[in-house]
Amino acid sequence: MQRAELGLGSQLDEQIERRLRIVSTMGTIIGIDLRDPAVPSGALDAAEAWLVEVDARFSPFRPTSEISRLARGEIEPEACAPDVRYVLTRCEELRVASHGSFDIRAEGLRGGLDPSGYVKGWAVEEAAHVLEAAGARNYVINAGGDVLVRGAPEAGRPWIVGIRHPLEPDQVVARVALPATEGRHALATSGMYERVDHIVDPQTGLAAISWLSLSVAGPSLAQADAYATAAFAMGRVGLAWLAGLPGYEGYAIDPGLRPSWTAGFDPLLV
Amino acid sequence: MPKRAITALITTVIALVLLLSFKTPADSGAAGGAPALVSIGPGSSIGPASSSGPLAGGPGAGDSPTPPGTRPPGTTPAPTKVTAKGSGTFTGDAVQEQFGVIQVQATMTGGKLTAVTVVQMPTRGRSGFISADAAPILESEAIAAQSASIDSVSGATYTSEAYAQSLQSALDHAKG
Repeated sequence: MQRAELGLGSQLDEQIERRLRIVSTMGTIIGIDLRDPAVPSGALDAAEAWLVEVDARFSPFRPTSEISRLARGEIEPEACAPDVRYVLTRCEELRVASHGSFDIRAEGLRGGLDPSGYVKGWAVEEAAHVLEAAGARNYVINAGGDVLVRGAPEAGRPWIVGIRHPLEPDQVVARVALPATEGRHALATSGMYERVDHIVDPQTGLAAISWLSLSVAGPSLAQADAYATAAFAMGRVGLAWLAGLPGYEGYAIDPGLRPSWTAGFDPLLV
Repeated sequence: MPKRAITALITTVIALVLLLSFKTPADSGAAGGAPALVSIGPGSSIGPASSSGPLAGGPGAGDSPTPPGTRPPGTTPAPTKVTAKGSGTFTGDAVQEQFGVIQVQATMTGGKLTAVTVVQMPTRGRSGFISADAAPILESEAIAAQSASIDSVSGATYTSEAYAQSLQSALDHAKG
């Protein structure tokens, strides 16, 4: 677990109080950018400790995790911690909702049981809850390219999140404004950027290449992340499937670099 | 870790498939396959105006890292301080991972991280268009620093523990 904390000033206004905590865990890097000066640093410590704990307990790469022990049949789901059971239940609901395109037990996944596609987003939402309990109302958490925000970066404008160009990593292809009102907003992206093993379509066993990337916006990061994975795996019909999900919208880029998006995504583009 | 090897293999295969399949973006017509409930954006390709094609900016096979200060694997260079504390270019440790050595440089300006440059990286990362140029969060920082109107970036690039370690050490050097 690596971490660094920088007192980074904003590009827009040097006076903006900003704390950035970087945590390397769950096979990725998680950055917490907190804009509430009154929140004690202990809240960032607690959020970080939680993320590290989730990795220890849920990682399919760690032989001692409950997930690994479940996969080996050493324990029954009933013997797992309540939050492990909760995650497994949510993953099963997502499998049904996605007609099997999101499946933590799909063939080819490590150990035969890999809820990572849900766990990361869920863990970040819980970490956000830890921050909020300490008074945080304005933050962005970026977990390996999946983003959760609340509030605003500064008075008078919303959080603006870029969607990374699928082929040119230092470019963005769209800018998404996440409203400053109504609690949390998430933007998760699945794509060819990395970890291509997680976008194999469980129904065909083949890599899904209808899209170079597919982003999902909505209130829950765990849901948005899972929906992005599922819609990506579905291929061309993935966006239409997303359009039918209340509260969630999609934006996808095809191999010709042409963007498509659901009607509800339109007002988010700036 | 075998999983990483498998991941790398799949990555390479899919990268190759894509490189072979989508050289001509105009061929993969989108109109016929577009879902009914979806708005199709402006017909033009997205990307920087300077880009001559979808793969123009991707790291090409055979590219090699060309930053200054390339060092032999396994060595830990001294931090390179250019100006005052919190400003300058800081070279991280060279960190061994399964496929080679990763080493990055952090450029700080007035305490702000403005760029992350890869000094060394395994050939694997350059072999496909899966870029190893940066990890998502800190590259997001760098992008955001260049574009005053972006706070964060969605869509990950290559990430590894070794990358994080090297960057961590560079940031530690920067903090002095």
